[in-house]
Amino acid sequence: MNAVDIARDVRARKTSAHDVVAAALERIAARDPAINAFTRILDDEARMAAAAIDATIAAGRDPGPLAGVPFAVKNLFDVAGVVTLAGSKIHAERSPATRDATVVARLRRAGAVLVGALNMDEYAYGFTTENTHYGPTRNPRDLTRVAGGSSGGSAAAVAAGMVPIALGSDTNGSIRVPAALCGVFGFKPTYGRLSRAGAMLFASSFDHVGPLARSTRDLALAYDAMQGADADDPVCAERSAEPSAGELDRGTHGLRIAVADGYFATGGAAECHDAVARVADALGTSRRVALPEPHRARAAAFVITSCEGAQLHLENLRIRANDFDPIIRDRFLAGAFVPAAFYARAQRFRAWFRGRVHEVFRDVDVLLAPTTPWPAPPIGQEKIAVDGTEVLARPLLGLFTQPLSFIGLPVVSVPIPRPGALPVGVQVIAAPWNERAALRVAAALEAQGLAAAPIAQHGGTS
Amino acid sequence: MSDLTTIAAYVDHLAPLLGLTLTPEQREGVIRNLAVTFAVAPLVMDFPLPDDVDAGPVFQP
Repeated sequence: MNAVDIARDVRARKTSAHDVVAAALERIAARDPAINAFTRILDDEARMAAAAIDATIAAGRDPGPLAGVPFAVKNLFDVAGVVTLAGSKIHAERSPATRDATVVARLRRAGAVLVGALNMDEYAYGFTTENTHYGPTRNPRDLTRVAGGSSGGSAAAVAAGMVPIALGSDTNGSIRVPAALCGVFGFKPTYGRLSRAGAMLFASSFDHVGPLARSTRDLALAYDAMQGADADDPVCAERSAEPSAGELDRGTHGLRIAVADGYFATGGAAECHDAVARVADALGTSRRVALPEPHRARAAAFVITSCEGAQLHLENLRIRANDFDPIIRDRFLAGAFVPAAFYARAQRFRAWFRGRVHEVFRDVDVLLAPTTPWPAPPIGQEKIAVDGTEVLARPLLGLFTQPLSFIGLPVVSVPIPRPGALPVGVQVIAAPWNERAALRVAAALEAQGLAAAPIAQHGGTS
Repeated sequence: MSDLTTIAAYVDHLAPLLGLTLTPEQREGVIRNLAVTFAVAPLVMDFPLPDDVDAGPVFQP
């Protein structure tokens, strides 16, 4: 069941939070051993929280808009009483968090029930969730394939129907990439819209948090509950919440929509570019607009990520580098060697690129682009053949996402199912702070039946 | 721009200054990864930017 229906039924006492949460825990117990999305299941805690929601309702008080909705979070979010792993072995030695991350606390205050913590690439530095310490998370649509990353556990848990909503983080594509590969909706709001306080950072210049779900409505429900300023995150904007759930039925009338041309229209598998064409057709647009210098934006994002990630972990790299995931270790180490001039210049380029992209958004409201250049690759596969040439499969998964998070644009990755084949994702991109436009377009595509995230049933291609 | 030998020499000189002791395997991985960074960096470094383009972030004291 989706989150909107659960909350409605729990609030109306047609069902209880207890029953909903018990069913979610049963499903996790049945499905997760094959998928490996969860690193911690909060069984007792979730049942107690559900009982508290039911008691609130029985007492005639408002349980909140997400009453009884089970959710789970990437294990880089602080959860009071739980050790924040951030995908690492090193952080497993730390003490449990003493308080919830701001967005976790806000979802709980809205009545949602946390059922567990989810697998990820170590310290969020990856696009596949092939975590050496905790095992790879398997794609629920084909268990031999990666779930994408770094929020791979989040996307897999939602795709397998274990929870209707999960939280992830996105620095270069880490919500959008796994959402696309697992065939669910993933939403990265504008940089600074949602508080990151209590979430383990990776590259602060680009770190965002956001929800994944099986419908636009569920994304909006979670997003609305998490919005608002937060003094605990210096990047979080001083903006009041701009509720989005009531906007979804407005359709796309009045929105100027275009396909992102040039860089975003080549370089991927045909099925990924075809999905964008189908979405553009459904939205009745034939406009094409090119962003300036996106390949340089990707390079600049790469440099900044590398430097910021390395400095964050430098102390542990000095004393215990071999305790890092070997897939990621040398990338972190290499970041410490990047010349400062590269970093400073990349930050200035970021300002330039933002200015040019703002000019583009004077004439359009929404841009469309593929989320990933190909569907989920097999676990363990390093290279992939594109147009007869072998390229590195893992880093290139961020080809189309990286230039957008670089300047903090809000993006919804909508899932495009393909009968008998793996799903692909399409990015619905809006101007900064115009999340509502992206969500309206996503909702319209869902209403037309083009975008959909059915629960993956048996781990076969579905 | 930079060949692997030059990058290897740079890594070997800088590692002690950064307080990093690299195993041979780590050293090889660092050189390989850094080669990628040096390969893409010209896309940023060689792109002409007007002097008045400021990075943007405002530090709130």
